[in-house]
Amino acid sequence: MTSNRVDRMILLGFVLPAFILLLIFYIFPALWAVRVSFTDLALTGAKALNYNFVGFKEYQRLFNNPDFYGALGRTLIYTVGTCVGQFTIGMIAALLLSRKRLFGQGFLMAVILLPVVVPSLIQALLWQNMLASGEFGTLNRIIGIVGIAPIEWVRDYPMVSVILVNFWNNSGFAMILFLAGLENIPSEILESAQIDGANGFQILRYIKLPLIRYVILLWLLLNTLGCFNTFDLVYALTRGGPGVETTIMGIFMYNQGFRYFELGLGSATAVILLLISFVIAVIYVRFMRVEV
Amino acid sequence: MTADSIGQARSHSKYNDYLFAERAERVAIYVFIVGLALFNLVPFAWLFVSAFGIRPQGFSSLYLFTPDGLTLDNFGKAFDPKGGDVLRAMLNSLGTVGGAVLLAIVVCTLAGYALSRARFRGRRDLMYAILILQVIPITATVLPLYLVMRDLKLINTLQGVSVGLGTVQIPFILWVLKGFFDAVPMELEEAAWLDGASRLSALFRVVLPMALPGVGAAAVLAFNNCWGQFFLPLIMLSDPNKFLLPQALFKSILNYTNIDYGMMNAMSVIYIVPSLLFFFFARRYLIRGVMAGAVAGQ
Repeated sequence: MTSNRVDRMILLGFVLPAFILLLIFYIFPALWAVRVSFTDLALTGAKALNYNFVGFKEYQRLFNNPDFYGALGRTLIYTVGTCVGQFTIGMIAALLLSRKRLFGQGFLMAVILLPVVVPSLIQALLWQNMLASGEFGTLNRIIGIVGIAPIEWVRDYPMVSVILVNFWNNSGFAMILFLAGLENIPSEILESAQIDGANGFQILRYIKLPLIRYVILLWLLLNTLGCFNTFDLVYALTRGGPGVETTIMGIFMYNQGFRYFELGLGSATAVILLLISFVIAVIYVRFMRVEV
Repeated sequence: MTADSIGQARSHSKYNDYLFAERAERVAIYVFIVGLALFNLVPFAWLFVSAFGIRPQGFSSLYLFTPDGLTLDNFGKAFDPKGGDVLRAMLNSLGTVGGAVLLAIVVCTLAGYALSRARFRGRRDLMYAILILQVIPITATVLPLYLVMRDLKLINTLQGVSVGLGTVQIPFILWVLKGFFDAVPMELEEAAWLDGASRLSALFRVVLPMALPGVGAAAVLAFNNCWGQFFLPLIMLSDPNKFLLPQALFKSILNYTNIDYGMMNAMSVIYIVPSLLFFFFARRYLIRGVMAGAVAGQ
């Protein structure tokens, strides 16, 4: 009995280092940010040392700030834009790949997945060249092949540009998720639908899509989570500009905290971002049904 | 012509139609998939061409060009302490990320083993809670982390960045390693106990050797995750001598008026090497992993 208790203590000791680190550098910071969000703490100047507790004042300032709603709205546009694009490209690719095994399929899938492992800073750099203005910009050259005049991508269509970069980055991931779902559908179901005379569209609409709805939901939640927390990619590409046209939540928070040095306001933004992320993450984990 | 042969001819042409449709579909699939793959490869062309190629006179280095020949000049500039000073940034990155991965692997080996073996109430909920932490991206937690690092006087230290990056990896590695430890049969360990081994020595002599491939895989994944992190080092490090690779790279972009894209891409090539190596060795497992994760939700 004693040895059992000692053993429990030993196992508890094994768990401690990891959980202490998580507590100090993950859980506690989140709570600390809530505290700071009730102060007018600044990064520099007098308010950096002598800050005051101001209650919900920073939140009031945030909710009365049209820039905050602007950032929230742009984040939603960014999220919806990438979801629609990724779904379209990823689903078409997955449906095609699930019908026929292609020559070199493993290689092609790997190439499509390649951008996922590339650091997002590199992705942003590569797209400086792709989106470069004038007739020599790579994307302008490509659309020039079909006779479209050069476009000033980042200046005239900043949001479209960053959404396009997100496609490039994540469509492969969506494709592979969808493909996994489609390949998991028992072939008898599809065959019996064919025998009953269902056409291709009906099979897609009434059988395939409903059967992979969980995969689609998981992808949707993950992608939304990723979009609300995008910083590196967009910041390195546009720094939120031109003007504030690509200032999404992550960049708005960074600007408040580290450009305007208002840690109180920045923390309030972080707390809201964290709350949104937490809710999506909880839904995601509930739907994931993993074995523990 | 007999009725029979007409029927035959008709079904023959029907079969031909079928073959044609089949072939047309196959071509359409190839066009779409290969097109998508090309769309994914095209941006990399500029990276390598402008890093290794000699630029034709009068052509901006921002654009993709046909090189006049090969050169390593851009790498010379990248390594020059007065230029990109990439060596220092590379060592900073390797040390910081290496330390982060080591820290995360050590604490997660112990904790993953314990969570795999211990039976207690609330274990499921605890694992789900860790999963929730894993799913929340670093952007949402980075400003709070900065506040705590500031109070702990860890701002502008590589150790601080290392601990921060390592901690962020803990939930993920913990899940992966617990899975690998679950797969090591209990009987082997019990045999070691009968021979007088303690928990710790049984873990290191019996369980860990069997789970070693898993630990290695987790370390490689964690390394690649940390290697790509930009936000945390960006806000924590202000001394250029302590910059990590992504920051050194970013500094050369901020030089608005006169960006040397050749040098910048040489630095990018250096920065991207570990990710590419990781990709070439792990791509099959990567695809399988994503697919397994998707089906788990069905």
